Amino acid sequence: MNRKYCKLLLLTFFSILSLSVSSQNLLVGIGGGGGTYQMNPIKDFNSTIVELLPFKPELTDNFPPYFLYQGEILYQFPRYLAVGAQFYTTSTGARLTLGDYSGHYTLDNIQQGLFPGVRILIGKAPAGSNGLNLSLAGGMSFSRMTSHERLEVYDESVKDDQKYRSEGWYIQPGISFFYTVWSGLKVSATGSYYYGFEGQYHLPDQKDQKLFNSQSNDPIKPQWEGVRLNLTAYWSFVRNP
Amino acid sequence: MRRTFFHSLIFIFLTFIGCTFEPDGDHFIELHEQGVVPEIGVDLNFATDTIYVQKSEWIRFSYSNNGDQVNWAQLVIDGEETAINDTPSGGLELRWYLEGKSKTVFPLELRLFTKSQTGSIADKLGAEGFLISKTWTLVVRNPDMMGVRMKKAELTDGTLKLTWDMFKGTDFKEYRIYREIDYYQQSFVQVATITAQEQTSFIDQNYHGERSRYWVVVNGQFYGPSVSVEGPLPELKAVNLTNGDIQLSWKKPPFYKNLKGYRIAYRNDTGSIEPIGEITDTGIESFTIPNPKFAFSYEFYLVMIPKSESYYDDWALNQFLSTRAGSTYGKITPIFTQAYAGSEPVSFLLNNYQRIIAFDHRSFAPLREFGYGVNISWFDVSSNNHYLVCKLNTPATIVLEDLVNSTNTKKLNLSSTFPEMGHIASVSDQGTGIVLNGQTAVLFDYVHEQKIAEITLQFNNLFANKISASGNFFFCETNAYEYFRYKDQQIVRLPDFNPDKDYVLHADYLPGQQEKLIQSFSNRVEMIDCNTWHVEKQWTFSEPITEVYNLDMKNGQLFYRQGNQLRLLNVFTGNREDLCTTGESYYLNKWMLFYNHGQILWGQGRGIDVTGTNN
Repeated sequence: MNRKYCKLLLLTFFSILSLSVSSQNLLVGIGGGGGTYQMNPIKDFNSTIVELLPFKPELTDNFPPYFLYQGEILYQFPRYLAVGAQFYTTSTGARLTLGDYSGHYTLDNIQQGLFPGVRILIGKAPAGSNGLNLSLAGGMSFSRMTSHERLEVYDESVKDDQKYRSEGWYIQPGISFFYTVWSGLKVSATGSYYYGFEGQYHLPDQKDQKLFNSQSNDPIKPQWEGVRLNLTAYWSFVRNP
Repeated sequence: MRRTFFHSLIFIFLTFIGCTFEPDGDHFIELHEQGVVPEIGVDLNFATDTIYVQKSEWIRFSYSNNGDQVNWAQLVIDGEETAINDTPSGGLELRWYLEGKSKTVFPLELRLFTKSQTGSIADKLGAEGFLISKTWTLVVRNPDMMGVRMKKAELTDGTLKLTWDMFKGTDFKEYRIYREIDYYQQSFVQVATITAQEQTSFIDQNYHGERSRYWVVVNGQFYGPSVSVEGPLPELKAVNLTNGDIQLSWKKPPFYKNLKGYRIAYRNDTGSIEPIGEITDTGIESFTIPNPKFAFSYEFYLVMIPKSESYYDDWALNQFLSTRAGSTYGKITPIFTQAYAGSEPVSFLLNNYQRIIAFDHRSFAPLREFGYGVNISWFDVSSNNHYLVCKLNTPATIVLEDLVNSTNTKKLNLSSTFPEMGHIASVSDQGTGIVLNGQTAVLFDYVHEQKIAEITLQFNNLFANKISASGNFFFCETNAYEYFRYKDQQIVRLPDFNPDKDYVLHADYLPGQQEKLIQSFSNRVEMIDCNTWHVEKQWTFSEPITEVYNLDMKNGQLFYRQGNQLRLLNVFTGNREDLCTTGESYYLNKWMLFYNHGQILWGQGRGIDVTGTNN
């Protein structure tokens, strides 16, 4: 899914929504947070690259936790249930690098993920008072791996950029705590765990050209498993009686 | 206001949603830029700076290294033909088409671009390193010139060392060393196979002095010139020790380490080579012949006994790997053709028919000599050692030597007394003897120069005769033996004691009050009392007597030969004694040996002690 297209879609959606004064039991949330990402297949892939290289670069970044950005619309039922759609995105990456008097080498591997899905909240909040809800989200995952490789030896240089795509799906159980700031504004803090079922990376528009680890013959795919922590601000649009 | 805040939040969200993770960090390492030239072990299919290539269609050059320190390698011939391989470890092959090239000398260059060993990125990628090159000279040769020369076959440190030129061609596989040996059933034998091209020498532990040629064949196809070697076999010397024993001596050969030892042998009477002994220590350089045979002309062999595999059988060893020397056993004595003695330990030896040598057995040295300027045909000595009479080749001339009083010595010209003078022999203690005049045997007094008596013989071929010490008995050997007695101033014929006409080997008289005639046949010896003229004693022999040489008058020892054994028979006691051995079938006629005073003399100039005490 094209990132720009997604942005445009979201912008249009929220713009329309912000103009609406219709009485809906809707909660529109925007938030952010952070997550951890295992990325074991990609890490193995980097290890393979290091083994195959005649020189041995060092790993200066290895898929650290990073920010995530989330938006969602929830329809809250009168009691104990809210259902809605959510969307969040996050990224992480790794860097292999080595430099000496004769040259410099860098290989950046950037992982990006888009996670549209459905969310279900069970509990008193957000419809009622403040409190904890059980949260369960699930949906599609769209991953993108971009590698940038640079090699400079004396006055010669070579660069190579590659892009790969992957699709999958996920579930993400968690717990959310809702707090009403004022009648139209709620905030929630959510802690959840991402379980993904990712597909193998492939060339863009060529799903049959899949990426394998040449040493282990294992498929190379993202692994977004990890903890998600985020804060979300909700605007509520409650129907006037 | 809430809407504005909401819109702002949306705007911020949409802004941040485009932010993606950007990896950062750098890892820079300090390295020495100088680098170290790596050790390169190369494996070429050629090993010398000048390479001989056979004139053929294709030549192949190859190289491989034993590690990953080479980025690329290149072979260049004459600046034109090239082959390059950039595999870090591995090989390179250049096939060179030789046909049509007029030149015969070409440069060959190997260029290697090695790692710099700085550990840098450029080094790891092969973008920096050291360029190493080496050149060789290719020389095109005809196939028959590709072989290597066997330079020398050198005897050193007790063995044979072969050295040859190193093969300068390509694709060396092996040297094969071949050897051709005289008298061996195969035309040549393979001595060694050597697979190291740098090895250009070999120790042949199978060389024992055989006449040989060595050459090298490379890769089974390139033959080189050969080198010959023979022996040298040690020079064998044979000397007589003071006691007459024969001692052989030699210097150990220069290939002695290849020998197990030596064999001492001699050529026996049948012509075969018969071993005497074996020596297992090649450092020994002498050998004394045990139990030597007397009156035997030895041809000694010193035979090399190989330690390892030998291509020669025994016959060939004796023929080709032996050195020879001749010798005889015994102390040196005068050479003689006839010998007589009286009763003293002095033997009279006719030397070269020109002089008579009186040989003293006690001192084992000549005592005196008698010579007359002309050849002497015959002589004898009286048993009392008083008179010596000899017949000269000058017609009818006799010399009477008075051994007691030399003033009585005289030369007699008896041509008028004996106009048909023939043979004479022997002299009595009285100075009388038998002179043959025609067919008449005359008893003649040499001292007083007068005839005493005479008798006509049955035959006129006189071979031998003997007169007893008293002068009263004598015999003449003509076609048969005739026996006579002088008595009452006349000579009478005595009966023949050999009715069967057995061949008489020897006859002689023992002096004494009762004179005895000792007569020897092949199967018996008889003692005949001269006065009674009957056989007093007889000794029989189961093994035939081959020859009887002389009768030792003083001790009654009859010296004779049976087979290869020389013996004594004491006619007084009948005791028989073995003295020594001689050649088995070597014929020693009755004049060649003489026994006296416990010693045997051989007419070839040797003498030995055969008994420890003097009789």
